[in-house]
Amino acid sequence: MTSPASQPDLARELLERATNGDPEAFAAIVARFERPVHALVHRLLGGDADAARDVTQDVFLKAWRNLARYDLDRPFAPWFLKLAANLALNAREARRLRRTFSLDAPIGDDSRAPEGPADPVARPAHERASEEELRAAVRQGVAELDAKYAMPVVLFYLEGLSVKEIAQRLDVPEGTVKIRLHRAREALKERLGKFQ
Amino acid sequence: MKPHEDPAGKPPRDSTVTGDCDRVMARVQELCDARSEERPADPHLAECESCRVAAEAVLELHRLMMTEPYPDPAPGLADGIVATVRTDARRTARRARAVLVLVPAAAIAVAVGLTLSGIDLLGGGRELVGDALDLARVAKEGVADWPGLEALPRALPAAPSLPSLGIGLGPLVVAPYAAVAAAVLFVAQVAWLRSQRRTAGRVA
Repeated sequence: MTSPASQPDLARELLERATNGDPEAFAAIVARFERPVHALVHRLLGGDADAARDVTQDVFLKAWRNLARYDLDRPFAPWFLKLAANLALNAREARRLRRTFSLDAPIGDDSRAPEGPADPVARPAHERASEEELRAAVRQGVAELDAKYAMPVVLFYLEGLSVKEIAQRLDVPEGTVKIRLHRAREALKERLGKFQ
Repeated sequence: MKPHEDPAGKPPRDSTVTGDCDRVMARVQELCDARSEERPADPHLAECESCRVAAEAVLELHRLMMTEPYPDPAPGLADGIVATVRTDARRTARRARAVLVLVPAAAIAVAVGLTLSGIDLLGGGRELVGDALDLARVAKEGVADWPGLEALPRALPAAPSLPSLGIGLGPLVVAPYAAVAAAVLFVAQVAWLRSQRRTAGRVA
């Protein structure tokens, strides 16, 4: 698994050139962060590949246009991934609102949802879910978690950060991260329990 | 607990849950947080089925999430982003050139044009200010001792106050200096743009 946390931060010289508007320096940043940013966004959007691609593109373009606001004395990865998470969560919220208030689709319509069953609870109880179906249910469950629970889950499981690193990244105490992870697992377990 | 609920409001506690149950589940969460492969070995698990089921469910969920495949981006995503960024950079550079080069160049052109048309801005401005100061003094102290008395009927109706003269004539006095400053700025910006182009060439 490629995680920006497991790699050293970008060279200051590269960041300086990018903040001065050098597109080639920014291309190096794109190459380095394309996978982790896409993965983070993908997970926060519940595995919706189309939306993840659009939001990932948006993240990089927003970063490019707002690099002047980045403080070169601070590590780049947390700043950038926070921007990515915020945009993904905004997109998720917008999608939820669109679905809720859509005049074309009935409430609960999930036509843009990722792969996986639309309503796991509706499955016959005797039918045991396959591994892939369980994974889809977990992905969908993560995408429906409140942002403050979804972020630690994604950072812990996807980026492979430790509880301590997540606490630093989110600027909250370690205990808070543990509690959020615990409660997120409980919520996901409940969802999975209904599915199995 | 529903995912969207704030779990600050805890669900009602099951009356059958004991301190042992809490201890076992806390241990399961600890193992997950530490990414440990160890299984919880607590005698309570052998006697409490609900704890056993709950612990298994959490560990299964943990396994699923730990082994979740890393989602790779669609091919061409990075290329598309970089192409957009390059276009954006070119547009920004064009705008910067327009602002940094064309504006001072236009100022110089105006100054040169005025000079060639015979308007001596520097001398004329000084003269105008001097006349205006004379007029203001006359308006204040009277005309008895003023040497330019014969010119008064022409000048007096137009005699303005000092501040309005300053505002009106100031730019005329400043214009030649601004033109010189614009020229210096122009040369500096051309040099800067050339150095930027050299840097971009080195990176490419």
